Amino acid sequence: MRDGVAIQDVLGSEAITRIKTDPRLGRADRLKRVKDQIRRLRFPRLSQLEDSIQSKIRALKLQPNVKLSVPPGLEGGDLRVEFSVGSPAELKSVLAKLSEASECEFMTEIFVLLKGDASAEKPKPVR
Amino acid sequence: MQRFEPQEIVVERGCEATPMFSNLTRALPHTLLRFVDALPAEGAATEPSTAKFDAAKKRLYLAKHKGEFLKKCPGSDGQVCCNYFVINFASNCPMDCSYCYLQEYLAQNPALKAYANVDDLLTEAEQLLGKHRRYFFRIGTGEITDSLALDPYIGFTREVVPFFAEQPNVLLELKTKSNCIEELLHLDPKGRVVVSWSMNPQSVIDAEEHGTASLQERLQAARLCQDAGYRLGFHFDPMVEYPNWEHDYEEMVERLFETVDWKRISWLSMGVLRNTPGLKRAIRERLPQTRLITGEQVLGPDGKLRYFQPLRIEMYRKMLRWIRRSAPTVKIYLCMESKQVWEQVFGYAPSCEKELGAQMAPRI
Repeated sequence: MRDGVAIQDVLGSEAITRIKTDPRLGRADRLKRVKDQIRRLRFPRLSQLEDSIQSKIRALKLQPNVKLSVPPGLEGGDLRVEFSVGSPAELKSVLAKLSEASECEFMTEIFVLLKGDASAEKPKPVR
Repeated sequence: MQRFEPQEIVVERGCEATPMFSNLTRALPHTLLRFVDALPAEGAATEPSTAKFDAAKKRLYLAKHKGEFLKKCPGSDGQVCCNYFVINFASNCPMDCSYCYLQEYLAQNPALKAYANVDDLLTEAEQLLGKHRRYFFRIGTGEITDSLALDPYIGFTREVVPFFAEQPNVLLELKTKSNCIEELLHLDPKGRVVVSWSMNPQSVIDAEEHGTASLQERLQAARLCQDAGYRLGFHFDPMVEYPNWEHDYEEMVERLFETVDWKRISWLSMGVLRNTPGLKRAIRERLPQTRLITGEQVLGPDGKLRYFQPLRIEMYRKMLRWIRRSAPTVKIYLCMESKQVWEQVFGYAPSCEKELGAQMAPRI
């Protein structure tokens, strides 16, 4: 209704047709991807923001045992950091890499995206 | 604003001697009157339906309220609360906003009721306020009804404003989307009454706030109340996001401050459109054509759908900037928002509900 597109047109769109006809996908994967695509249409700006954050997380190039994630719908505005280590040396290495990442401009940009429009001037507190 | 014309007034026996009954029969002399021994039981037999909710707005019950009138505002789980009390002098509303939470909240019991035993209400308020003179109370009447929409017919404010005007430790807030202020203009609030309006641009009023006063009517009413000595409040709530919303909201804010003196404003609040999944279903069923629920709303930890957080922070910051341009130190709070959102919008969050409540109080 919002975008003036009929349901059959959404389901017949090129992006969804491509998923439906991809022979490499099983039934469950196909359904998951169709739902994801529909979510992208339903929440275009949120999806775009989530994609931007994910691309910046990837750009940090952290080790595979370190996972950075954001809450569903970006509610709360926090970045979640999870990692597992098998030795004190590995812990030291992960922490060093995370410390380095915290200084990186991609990390700053992630928080800017999580906290709302950076271009909107943040007012001074008036109590 | 659309005039309220019920098809029938149903009066519970025992209410005939009350001022509210006299006011009703005087204001609506041609409306069918029916007397009953008791009101139908709450939540009775029939299934909730959209037809039932629609029909409920066309019949006014005048009854005695059996329970407590005064309650603490329930707020929303995990959100910053403003420490507010509510008086339920009526239930349901003659107006019909698309987003109204009463569609879900009163689904089992949608009867439009006004409670005639105002003397019991005042006794209860006197006990609370008298017992706790050290504390300051903010009390509102607009939780499950509009504070003023029924006033031309039931004359409720004529009974309560003189009482609250004499209390040293309270501000009574009358929250409305109407312009039914005629009664108020003949009363002296003595600085204890805030008349507040829910505000939206005319485009939102036209599309979603059916039967309410226009933006111009609300502004004119606010100006008249200001001139009559009332404090003012404005609630930009629910803020609705749509293409070009910025233009409409900025213009509305400009018109507001061109009309009233911001120094007479006790508080402003902001809150974005929010609804539970159950309310969303009710809206879809009653108003299938509304675009209100097509926004990018996500489910929060308190079970309510709101625009995703970065988007609503952006909306609040923009509104705040437009407000501050004209009213640099006016008190503004967020309704049903988390501490994280407060921090991002204002640069601080109240440490507890008492702090926020106290911030509203000292401007007496």
